[in-house]
Formats: sequence, structure tokens, C-alpha cells
Amino acid sequence: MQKTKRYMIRALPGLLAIAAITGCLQPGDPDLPDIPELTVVEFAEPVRQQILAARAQLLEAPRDARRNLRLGKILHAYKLQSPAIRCYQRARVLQPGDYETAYLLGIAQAQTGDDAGATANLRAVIRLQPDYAPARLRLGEVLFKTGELAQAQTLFEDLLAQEPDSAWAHHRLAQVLAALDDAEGAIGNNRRAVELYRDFGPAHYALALAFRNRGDSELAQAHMERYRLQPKQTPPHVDPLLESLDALDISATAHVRRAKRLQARGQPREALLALEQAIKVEPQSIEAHSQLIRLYHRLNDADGVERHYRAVTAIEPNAVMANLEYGTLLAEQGRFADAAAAFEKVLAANPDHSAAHTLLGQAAEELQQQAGAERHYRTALENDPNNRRAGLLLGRLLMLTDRRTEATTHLDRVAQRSDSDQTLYLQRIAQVYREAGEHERAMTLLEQARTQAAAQGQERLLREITQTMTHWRETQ
Amino acid sequence: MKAILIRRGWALSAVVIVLLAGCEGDKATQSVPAPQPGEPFVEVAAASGLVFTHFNGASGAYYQPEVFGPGVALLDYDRDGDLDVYLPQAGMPDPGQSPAQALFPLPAGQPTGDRLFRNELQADGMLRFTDVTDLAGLGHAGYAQGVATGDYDNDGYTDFYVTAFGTNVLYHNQGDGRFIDVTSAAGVDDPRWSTSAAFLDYDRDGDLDLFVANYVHFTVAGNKQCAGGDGTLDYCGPQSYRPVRDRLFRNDGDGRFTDVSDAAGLGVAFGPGLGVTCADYNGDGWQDIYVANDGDDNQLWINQGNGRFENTALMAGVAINAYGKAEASMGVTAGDFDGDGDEDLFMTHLDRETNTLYVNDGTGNFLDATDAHKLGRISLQYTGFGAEWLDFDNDSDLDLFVANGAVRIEESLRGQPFPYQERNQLIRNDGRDGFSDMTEQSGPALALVEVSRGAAFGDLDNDGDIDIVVANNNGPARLLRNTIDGDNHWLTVRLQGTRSNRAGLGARVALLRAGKPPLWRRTHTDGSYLSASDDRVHFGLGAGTDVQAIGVVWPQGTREIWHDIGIDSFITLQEGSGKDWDGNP
Repeated sequence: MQKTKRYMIRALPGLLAIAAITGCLQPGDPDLPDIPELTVVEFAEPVRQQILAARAQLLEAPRDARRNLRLGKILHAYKLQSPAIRCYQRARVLQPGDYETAYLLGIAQAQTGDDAGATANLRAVIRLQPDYAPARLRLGEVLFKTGELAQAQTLFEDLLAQEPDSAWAHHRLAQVLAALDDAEGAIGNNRRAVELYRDFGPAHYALALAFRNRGDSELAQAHMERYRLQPKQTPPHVDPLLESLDALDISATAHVRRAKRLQARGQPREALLALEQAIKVEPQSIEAHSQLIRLYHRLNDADGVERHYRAVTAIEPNAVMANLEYGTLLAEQGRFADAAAAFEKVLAANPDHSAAHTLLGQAAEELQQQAGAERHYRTALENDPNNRRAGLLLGRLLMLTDRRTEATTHLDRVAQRSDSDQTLYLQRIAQVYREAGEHERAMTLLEQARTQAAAQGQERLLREITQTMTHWRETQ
Repeated sequence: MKAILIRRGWALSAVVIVLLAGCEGDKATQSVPAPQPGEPFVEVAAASGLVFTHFNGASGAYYQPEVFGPGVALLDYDRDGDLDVYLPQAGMPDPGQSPAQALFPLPAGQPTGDRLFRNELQADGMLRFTDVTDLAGLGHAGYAQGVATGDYDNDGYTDFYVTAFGTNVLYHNQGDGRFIDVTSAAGVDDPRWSTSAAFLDYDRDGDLDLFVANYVHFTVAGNKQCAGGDGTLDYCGPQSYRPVRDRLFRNDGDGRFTDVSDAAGLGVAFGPGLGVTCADYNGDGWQDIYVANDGDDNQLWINQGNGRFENTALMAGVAINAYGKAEASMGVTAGDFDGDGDEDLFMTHLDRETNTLYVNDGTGNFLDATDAHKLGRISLQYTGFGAEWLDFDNDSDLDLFVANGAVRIEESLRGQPFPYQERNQLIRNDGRDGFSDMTEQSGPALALVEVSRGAAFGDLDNDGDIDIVVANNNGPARLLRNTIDGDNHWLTVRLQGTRSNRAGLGARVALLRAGKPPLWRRTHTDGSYLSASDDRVHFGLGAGTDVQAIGVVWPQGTREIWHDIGIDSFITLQEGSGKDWDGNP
């Protein structure tokens, strides 16, 4: 009884919203799917208003194809594919010659597993707008997934005739050829894909397995190493119609996503604006506040960090990223006891948090609490043996306290892992050995780091290592 | 040398004797639904007395463990010849909350805690279960997730290990119908969030070691609020928390285990582990371990034969799918579906991902052959958990059963109290034509729409075909009794190790037939999801009656063969009682 009542109460606003919306519906038009009913009560207010406004505009002119398309796009932007499809279908009936509608409908259908619908609509796009290359790529992907290998092959080949330098088209064609047992054709296309986009992770992976199958273990290993460096890296999709959906998403999550992209592109000020926008949409967004703390920290804006730290801890006192970032800032300011208090908050919620233990260990070292530091480093490694920072710091601490055998074990392990950070760690381990008086070993490691930096095109690091080597040679 | 042959009639007689000896318990009061022609399974849980509803403790806070259990185990704990059922139960994830705060209360009259149901198989083959939890000294009251079974002390009685969000428990079977908690003494506790576990003899010393897959560092205090696109609260994915490393415990042979995770090299790679299955994937005679991780690279730990393992998953082609993508792997099962003598892997994933089939080339290298075998499209709309290769129709090839249930709100169910229900799937092996989903034609038992998680497989009514127990989250356990009726023959083999572990877990069993390739099966209880299955090996024989012999490759590496094998029967093969086997009939 109590449970039923609770659900009635929870569901009530939604039911009211549905009732309010459906109350406005016009009698059904036999040619058109009905305008979808929507429950928007859970959305943040600005998003809710955006959806309701688009729907209200549509209800004013239900046979207006652009208005149907617009509501469809907004719903699609929030991943509400099913109602979006209904709006697109209406727009498609009302304006059959519009390739944008056909394309977005096809995409939404593919996302919901309606392969037949997706195939029909994406084919329509190719008829309506043969130059819109993404349609060929998407249609090829659907056909491949549904086992229509020959048709998929033709599409990808057509696409390559249209865009010979499309790394995606080469990679997708390679997948089809592999499925058709044309291993050499697949290898050729994946090779071209990685020529066009050097860090194309999945293409490197496919090449690694193809060479493995061919018995060429050296090439297989080489491509697997490249995959390991950037496993998730893929070329950007140039798809203006899909990008237009992203622009419609005004949720806090979308703003945070944009901010991360901007940061990755080296545009921190623009990222700040995006994050502040996220807070406007959703003032309680822990993610947005935490990202702001991180960003203000990078920009050396202590006031910004303080402001958002206060905001986020009012929502969630033990927020992980916020406390880690804030504690790090305090440590940089030399306030090690305060920093430790922030890290302890993380452990209050997550006792096994490896990064928090590492940072606590560092703070403890600064506070001359070596035993505590060692304990935290060990706990960090116990929970995550791949925590290289903890391994390095523990190795260094052990070296400093003359426990060289164990220190070496930890440092060797840190040095062994191969990924894009390996060069940096080799450099740091070299420093540890130099501090311990093992100059020869330090130079060997630095040499290794230099080779690695050169191989991976890490120019800045390469210069830095070369300078260090010169300096060490001069001062040895 | 003849096999120890236990004919079907004998097995049933043994059951009858036990029943006459005075078993107590509730009598099933509901009638068993009659199967319709062509429907392979009928659901008989309540009718047979297997009455258990999972309680997930959901209170509206969306604590992640709420949607991950439960599993189920089938084990003959009392050695009366039939499979009993153990069902792990959850509680409140937040110990500060009382069950009264749960959105979905436990049904009136159902005791809290895990339950053990004794199978009191009737002379007419009907199933009847009695809850013997209290008699057996069981009733673990933590937040249980799954179960692994194995006779770790080789005393002939199956023990089991319960994984939990919190403290895990190892129960030792005393042999008198009772179990005792030996976790502390054995040193196999893991306070982290453990999911699937498996007993295996990785060091070939004749006793079973224990591998425990762990999931993520979730804590109630660190609970995150995750929402769908519309802002509705929903359960977080694994990316919201950091993964927890897995554990390998070596059996020291004296009732104690040693944590050898680091020494074995397992610390270097781990993810949010949900499924595990152990087999000799590269054919070198040593048991390897495959771990299915949720949204992260899977691991294939190849046993180096010196106490160490090496993760070869990436180059072996089983870390990520053919598209270079790590999938949300949940359940996993290994079996020789293509009859080429090696273990192929099938694993279940999130909706909008496909379930994935990795075909072994015999050397431990695999090829993602999901689409080629038509297993991709049929799984796109489901979130799969428990799964197993099983020959449900005794036609001699391995089919699939997949237990499904969402972890994110199903759009079509939005607004319902627990909107995660999906239908399970029965998938038939059509040989060269790939696989086909025959759920639609399989009647009401396969039409149930629930939040299924674990599934365990075994011949509960000892009638020569495989039945299934499905463990549902926030719902009743289901027993799908196999009602396939036809002319297909079968053979069920129980192994009895003497130098190897008692149940022969990890042994490879070949059924040799004139003019046909051998059928290879593996003795195992692991795989699926959070669950443990029948440790007997089942062969469907189709119309064939031409069984030449049974060959066994024991975990210790020795090979033996037995001739004069009867069909449509249960046989027990004791290690050392066969002839040396050179691989030929």
C-alpha cells in the first residue's frame, strides 16, 4: 500500500505533464503519425522550456514540416529517439524531398535498431543529396551490420570515389573485406586508414589481428603497440547535420562535454564559459563545479577554486574530484595539513581510492610523516597495482631510506608499462636514481626516455630530456 | 575396463529411497503447467516448491549493487543424485537503512537471507523442493551476489563460495547436510564488491583454487547520482567508479588458501569484472582464466605453468570486439560450439551492443565471428547477463540460453516501478546457417518479461536433458523444466577425480562416435553470470546410438578412455579406472 502510494506521488507530476500536453492535441490526421506525447518533467527547467516551446509551436501549425523537424531534432538531441522518430516521420511525410529529415530519421532508426527503416531513409538521402557523404558511410554501416556485405562494400567504395582520403571509409571497407575473407584487401585499406589518420586506434587493432592471422608477429606487435598508445582515438566525423543536433542540446551535461572538448583543444577560457553555462542550467551539477575547480586550478585562480569548492561541498561534502583538486591546490600552496584533510574526505566516501591514498602519501611526506606516507603508497598500490605515481613515489621513498632492492622492484615496474606516459615516468625514475647516486643507471634510463620521446614525436619532452642529459654530463 | 554405469532407473530409485527415508518439507500445492507441443520448456518454480523472490533493497537512492544480482547455484549438496538449488539473497545496500524503507518489500512469509532448496525428486520425475536453509545451517544475511561451487577439500561433498557486496563467505559442506562458514580460517574473504567466482585447479596439484572477479569501488557514502538524457535518476554505469582488482586464492591443501594475485601476475590488468570462465583455451594442458569486464578490456589470463599468468587478451582478439571497442561484458560461457575441439567464448552485453562470439583457432587466438554466425542483430535490443552453451534439444550441438534484463531504464517501460524488464532468449545452433532466435516459438516459459540476471544449467529431474534456473532481480526465481520430447538420445557423465580434484573440474571429455568428429565438453560449474551449474557433463546425441567410447583429459594431464558406453544413461568415470588414451577410439 505504502509503495503504491509512493509511486503515485512520484508519478504524479509526470502524469500531470502528460495530461497537460496531450490535452492540446488536435484530432489525428490519417496521413501522419500522431505528435508524440512527452514526459518532460524530469528535465532541467531550461531544457523543459526548450522542448515545450518547440512542441507548442508545432501544435500551432502541426503540418509545418520545419516545426516537426525542429521538435524531432530537439528530442533527438536529448536521446529521446522514439518520439523524435515520430516527429521526423511527420516531417518526412510533409516534405518528402528534404534530405535533412530523411538523414536524421535514418540515424535515429539505426540507433533504435530499426535497420530496415534506417536503410530506406539513408538510401533516400543518397538519392536526394548525393553529395552528402556521411549518408553513404552510415548506410554502409547499417548494411554491414545487417549482413549485406556486397552492398556495404559498394557503398564504401563509392564513398572512397567521392572522398578518397576518408580514413573512416577505408576502415569500414576493410571491415567488410575482412568479413568477405579478403584479408589482404582489409589490410590494405586499414593501412591507408592509419596513413590518413596516424592514431586511428581501431584500425591499428584490426591490423594487429590481421598480421597475427598472417603469422607476421612483428607487424602485429607494432600495430598493437600503436593501438595501446591511443586505443580510443578515431578520426573526427565531419557530419554537419549531426553536429546541428549537438548544438541544440543545452543541458548541463552537454555544456560540460563541450568544456572538456574545448580544454582538450587548448581553449581554457572558452571552456570556463561553457562550464559556467552548465551551472546556470543546473546549479547543483557536481560534475560542472568539479570541472570548474580543476580548470580554475589550472588557470591559477585560487578564488575561483575556493568559490566552486564551497559550492560543491555544500552539495556533496565528500565529492571526489573536487576534494582531490582542491587538496592538490592546497598542497601547492604549502598547506599540507589542509590538503591532507581534503584527501581524507575522499577516503571517507571511498576508503580504497588509490589516487587519494597517493596524494595523502605525498602530503604526509611533506609533513615529515614517512611511515604514514609509505603506508598510503602501499595501500594505493594494493588497490591499483598500475598506479604508477604511487609506484614511483614508493620507490623513491624506499630509495631514500636505503631499501634499494624493493625500491628497484617498484621503479622497474613503473618503467615497464608502455603507453604515452612512459617517457615521462622514465625521466622521473632516472631522477630518482640520480638522487640516489646511481648516475650510470640514471643516464641509461634517460637515454631510454629520449629514444622513446623521439619515436613518439614528443618534441617538447625530447628537448627537455636532451638538456637534462647535457646538464648531468656536465655536473657528474 | 567398464565405466561405472548408473542407469536412469537406478538413479531415480536412489532418489525414491531418500524420499522414503522421511524427508520433511512443504508439499507443492500448485499444479504443474502442461507443456504444449513444440515448447521446449515449462516454468515450474512455484509448482515445484522453489519459491524465492529476490529482494534488491532499492530505496530510491539508485545504489549500483541493487541491479546486479542475483546468481544461482545447482549442486547436489547431499549426494542423493539430484541437483539442489542455492539462491543468494541481497539486503539493504546501506546498512543504516531498514528493510521497511525498501521500495519493493520481501514477499510476506519469505525469510531473509540466502536460501537452500533440497530437491526431492519424485519417482515419477516430478520436481519438488523443500527449503532446508535452517537445517543446513545456512542463511547468509549480507548483500549476496553470486555463488561458485566446488569440492575444495576433495571430501566428496560440494562446497560453495558466496560473493557479495561486502564480505564473501566460503561454506564447507560437512557431509551431514550441514555447512559451516570457514571464510576466516580459509583466508578467502574479500571485502570488496565481488561478483562471479570460479573454482579451478590452476597449479595442477589436485585441489581446487579460487578465482574471484571484483567489480568497482562503490560505497554507499560515495554513491553518485546518475541520470538519463531527460534528467531522470537511473543507475550509474561502471565508468562512474574505479574498478577493483580481481583475486586468485591458491588452495594450500590444508583448508587454507593464500592470496597469490600479485605473485601470479594478475595485478597488472583488471577492470570491472562481472563474468569468469576457466578453461584450457590454448590447449597446453593448463587451466586459463577469462574475465569479462563491464565496459573495459576483458582479460585472458594464460597460465604459464609456473604459477604465473599472462594476459594475452588483446593479441588473442578477445579483449575488445572486432570493431576495436571494449564492450559491457556481463556473463560469459566457454564451449566447443563448432565441434573443432577447442573452447569458444560467448559473452553477453548491454543493449545497443551485440552479444559477442569469439571463435578459438585452437591455439588461444580468437576471431570475433558474431555477425558471421548471426548472433549480432538478435541481441541488439537486450542487455544480456547469464548465458550458457547447452544442447537443450539433445541434437548434439551446443545452443545458447541468454538471461536478459536492463540496467538502464527501458524507454518503453518508463513510468513503471522497476522499468528494467526484458525477455530471455533461447538461441538454436543451426550449424552452417549460424544461430537463430527461437524465443518466439518457445511458449510461455520464454515469454516471461523480467529482470533476469543469473542462470544455472543442469538436469534437475534427471531425465537426460538440461533444465534452467533463472535468478531474477527483484522478482521470483524461475525453473524452466526441459520438456523436449523426441527421439534424440543423450548421455550424462559424472567424473570422479582421484589424483585430480574430486569432481574433475576442468577436465575435457570427448564422446567418440564412428565416422563423426568427437564431441568435446568440459567439466565445469563456472561461467554464465554469478552462477554455478551442474558439474556433470551432458551430451545430446541426436538420433545416433553409435557411441564408441568416452575419452577424458584430466586436469592433471593424464588421458583415459572407456569403452562399452551405454546411451540414455548416467555414468560415473573414476580417474584411474580407464585405459590410457592416445587420442584414438
